Amino acid sequence: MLTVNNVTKKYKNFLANDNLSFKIEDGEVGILLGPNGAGKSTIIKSINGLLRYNGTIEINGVDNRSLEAKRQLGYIPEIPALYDTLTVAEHMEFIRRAYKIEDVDIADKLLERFELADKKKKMGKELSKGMQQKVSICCALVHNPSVVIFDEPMVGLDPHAIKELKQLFRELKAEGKTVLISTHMIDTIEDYWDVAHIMMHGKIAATKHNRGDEDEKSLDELFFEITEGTPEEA
Amino acid sequence: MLSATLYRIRKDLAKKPWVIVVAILAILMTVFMIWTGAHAGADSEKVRNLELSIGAINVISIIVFDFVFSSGLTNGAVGFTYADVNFHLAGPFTPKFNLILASSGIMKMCGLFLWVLCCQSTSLSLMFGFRTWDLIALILGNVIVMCAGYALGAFFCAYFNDSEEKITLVKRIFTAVNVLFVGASFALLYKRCGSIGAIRGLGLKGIIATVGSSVPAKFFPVAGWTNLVYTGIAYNNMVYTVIGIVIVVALIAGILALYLNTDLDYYESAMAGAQKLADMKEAKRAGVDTDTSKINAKIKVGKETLKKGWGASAFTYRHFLENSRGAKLFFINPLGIIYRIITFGYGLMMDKMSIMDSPKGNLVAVMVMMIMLNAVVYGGGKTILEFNRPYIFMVPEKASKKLMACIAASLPEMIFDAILCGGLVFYFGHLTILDGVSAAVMMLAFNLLFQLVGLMSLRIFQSLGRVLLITLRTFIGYGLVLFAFVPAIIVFAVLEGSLASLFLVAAAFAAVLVGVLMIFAKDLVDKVELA
Repeated sequence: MLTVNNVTKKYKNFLANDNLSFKIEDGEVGILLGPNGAGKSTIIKSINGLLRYNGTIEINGVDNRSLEAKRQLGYIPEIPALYDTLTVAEHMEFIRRAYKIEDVDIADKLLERFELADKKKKMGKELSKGMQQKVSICCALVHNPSVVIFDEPMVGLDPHAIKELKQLFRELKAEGKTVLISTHMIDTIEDYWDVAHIMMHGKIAATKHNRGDEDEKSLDELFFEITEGTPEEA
Repeated sequence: MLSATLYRIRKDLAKKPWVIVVAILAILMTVFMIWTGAHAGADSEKVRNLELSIGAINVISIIVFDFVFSSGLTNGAVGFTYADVNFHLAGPFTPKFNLILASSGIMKMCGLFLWVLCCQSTSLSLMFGFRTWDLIALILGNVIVMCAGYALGAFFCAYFNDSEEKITLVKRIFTAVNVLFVGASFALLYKRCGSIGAIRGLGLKGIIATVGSSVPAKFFPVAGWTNLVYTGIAYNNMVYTVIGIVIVVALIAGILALYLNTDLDYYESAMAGAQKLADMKEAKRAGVDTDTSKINAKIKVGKETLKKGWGASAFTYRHFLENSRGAKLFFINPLGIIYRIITFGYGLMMDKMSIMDSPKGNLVAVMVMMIMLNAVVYGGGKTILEFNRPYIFMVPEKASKKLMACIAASLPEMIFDAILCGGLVFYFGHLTILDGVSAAVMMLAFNLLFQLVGLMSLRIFQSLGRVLLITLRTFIGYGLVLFAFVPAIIVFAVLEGSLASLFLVAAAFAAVLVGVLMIFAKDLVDKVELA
């Protein structure tokens, strides 16, 4: 479970996150939607303990900066942060060892799934952006986290990888894990989500639950209404 | 297009007005350095050794030419950004005009090199007896050498862009010219002196004077031709001056003609270079400061792989693996080796040319050089860049453990470097083994100090931008080293301690500073701000 309570983040005079609060339950997929500069990446980084902020963030009831929370957290950054001179297999091995994971087969399974098995000996700098993103996803899942945060995960991926990733979201959800996905690509969102928070100017402008109610506005209708029109109406 | 470029420069300067201040300060400092340098030379030598001055100018220019020509040959079409590719390369402009754009980055580098040359004017004057006009001739001559050298190298790079074999051929010819020059110079020296022992008897200054003012040096491509003008002026030899001017004018005209009358096709490699630059920029925006030296180097995977480390120590072993993969020699940073060679060369010059009055003077000069260079090597090393990626903060281990694990990764290199430094100090300072070992311990403490200062600066002053950040961390490092030397000098001077005690007290104080910085650095890992 992920709980964000009254989180505010300022960069000098710029208010990137303004008193944000939301919760994603176990087995739920949450979406953070918003245009560029809405503050999505800032809250994602804050959740991952990579920024200082005011407010509280909890991972399964413990402070997100505690070692306990870090053990349960998986993070896929917007731009893959791979090591240039480490091979794909070594990236996986490094993360496995750093997180003290005994299971040596998990890396192979993940690489197989994302069609990286034949790229094991390629160095980080030799991979295309899409490949790097796939490695980044695999690295975040090696330690089997219970809360997984994706920051713009679809960018640079090929159609097969996007399909695989969507399937992964569904599986993580089925396993009772908490998933938070930040994106501005509204057309990539399908039926796997449970709750969507639409962000504008550092605030949550609207929240929509996926109940399959046909009378409600669709997610993209709501999104464009907020980003191009009147946020208060939402 | 020119007005658009000028507009961009103007906008950039408006955003960063401090660049103008830095430039003015650099120019003032340059003038001051030349002035003091010229006076230092005048005082140190009553009778001017013209052959030495002219020879030294020629030798320096030849080294500069070799450097810029090979730079141009390797990086000729590199230096374009994606904006250049999209707006200039794809725009209605000729490849020749666009190539001028790529040279701007190299020109900055040349400017920086000339500035360094000016900063060394005092040492050059002390070594070679340079007067004001010698220094001015050296600098002006090298402006021509750099521009022409780079333009020629870049031309060959662009012209033979489609053929690796032709580029290799140019490189071989370039190497052959240098080998020929060295061979001819040696033959000349041998003919003049009659034996190897007699050549040694000339000393370094004598060899430079003879080789630099010889006929092969005068006709060395670009460097020799350019310096022919000043050689003629200095010796009152109109023939040399006129030949020099004619050759230099012909050279510039020839380069222009080459560029204007040749079809250049370098866009593919320009785009590849732009892609690398864009990747680095994007990575930096995401908080991943890429180690550029590793991006450009041809690194192979090899047999070694990651098999050790658990928890925080996984960082140490990963760094070991990366270091050994990136280094040409075991785990040692190639830049570190270059800097040690520079220190050795500098020490050798100080020693053989008797610039300082005593071995103690040489010792101080070599020490200062080592400390200055190590602040650069360890202040911005690869280990520091670890703290620009999310993993170090996200791995569930205590901050102090992760910090120690990353610093431990640099220890083998630091220890090796400290031993090397101790050896250099022992050799050039004519010291005892105990003094050398103490100096090595002190350098190890200083290296650790520089690394922590680098880390702290990166985390606290990241928003300052690369240039200011590097300057700031280097000067903070120097300041702390000076601070550590204060009690050491007191012990040495007041209590009449030995040199070993001076080094060990400085090491102890540096170790205390390292301890204090470790506490702050741990806090920065805990309370991260990875913007």
